Amino acid sequence: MLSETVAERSSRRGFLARTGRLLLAVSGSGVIAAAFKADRAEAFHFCGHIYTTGSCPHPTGLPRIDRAGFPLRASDGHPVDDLGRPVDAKGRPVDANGNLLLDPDGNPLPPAPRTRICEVAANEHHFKPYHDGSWYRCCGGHIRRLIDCCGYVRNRINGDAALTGYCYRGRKVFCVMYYDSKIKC
Amino acid sequence: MLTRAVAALALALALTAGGARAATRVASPAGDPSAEGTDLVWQEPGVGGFLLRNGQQTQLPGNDPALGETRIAWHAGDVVTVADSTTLQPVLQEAIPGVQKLAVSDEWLVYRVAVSGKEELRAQSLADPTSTTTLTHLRAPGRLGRPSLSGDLVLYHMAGPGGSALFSYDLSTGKRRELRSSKVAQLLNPARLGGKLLYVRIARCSQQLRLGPLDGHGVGRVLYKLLPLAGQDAGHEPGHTHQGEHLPCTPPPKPTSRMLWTTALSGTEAYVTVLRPGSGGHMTPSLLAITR
Repeated sequence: MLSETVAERSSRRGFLARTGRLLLAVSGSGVIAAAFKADRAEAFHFCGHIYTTGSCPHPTGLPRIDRAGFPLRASDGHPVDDLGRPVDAKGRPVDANGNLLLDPDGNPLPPAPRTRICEVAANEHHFKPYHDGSWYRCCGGHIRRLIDCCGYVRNRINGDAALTGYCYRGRKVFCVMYYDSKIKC
Repeated sequence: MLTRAVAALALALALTAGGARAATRVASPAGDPSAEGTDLVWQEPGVGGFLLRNGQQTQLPGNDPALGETRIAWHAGDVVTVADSTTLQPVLQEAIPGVQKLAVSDEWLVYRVAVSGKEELRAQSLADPTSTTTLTHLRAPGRLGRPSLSGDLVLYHMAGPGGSALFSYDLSTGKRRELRSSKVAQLLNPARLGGKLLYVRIARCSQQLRLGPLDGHGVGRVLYKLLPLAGQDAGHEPGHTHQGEHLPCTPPPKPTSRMLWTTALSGTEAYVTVLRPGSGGHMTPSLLAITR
């Protein structure tokens, strides 16, 4: 864990590394290769992303997910279903004010599937999905966990050759996604 | 009421939301259509059922009306009436606690009931109303669709977090068939006429009213469509490049909050309810007709 050692040399990076480990402990998955830096506009399509692997398929675009990998609307972090509709905790569609949408008889409208976006990528491209490692960056003043959607794939979602990234056991990165924590940085 | 419906009928609305064909607004608020020949019935929420026959609109003495062959049915509270569709003279009345939606034919009455927090689809023979068969049931409300009936064949949807499917149940043989299913799109509210199946397909990038073969072969035709129910972001964050973004719909759609819902099918027209959100999440229905 050389990268963690390096990160802990500066107090800010040390904080990020510690919070990263905390996030890891909370999320309970993967191993962090933590190398943090401040947020700024970069040559990649969202903050914290490195290299050019594309986003995992997400119902509303940017691949923001919750801790369990389910899609959130990037603009406000609201859970959305596979149709892109905002939903409540039970996956039922709600209106812009959070009211449950009801048919003319007062029954909730039927819920649609809400699928982990790495799973969507895997279903669409026929591989078994794995969440392996993650890395962390400071984005918009909060710690962002960046996650590779891994599989035994040759090519990534962009179509060009897949790279190892933070995937293990011969798996490679197919697409990327992120989880925004509430931890300030 | 009559004036409004007649005026609405005369007003052919080529809806601006990208309809595959021009749609005519039949009535509003109105939904849950059922058709037989040139007759059409629907429900006006909070008011009751209506029958449109030869351009004449009549309020029925009950709710959630259904037409099938020579029969018509409605319910007033828990009391269900099956009547002759020409004379509206009752041929059967019975109490069915929790009854919600009806479908009828010369031989059968099919209904959805809500009992003890779950929904059930049941059928009974009109020749022997004491014998009832439960076709299916679901615990969560709102996931079991309104039944439609064509001869001996009941059609309905089941939709939930695991996906959706359209089913038929043959009352003469007791055989159930899955007609269509999807884990990606929501398939809702089937209606049948002959070998044709009408249903709603709500996908990420569009909503469609589809008419296809009953047996499931071939995608069929899109009779009407609406924009999707959700928008999308830019796919990249401000100040960042496009490279690597992955957008669900191309070109980016302008979403609508209107949703396709229940259907009915006649020899010349397809009918669909369009729901519009109102206050507190309550959806208001409008009934459209689309020439097949």
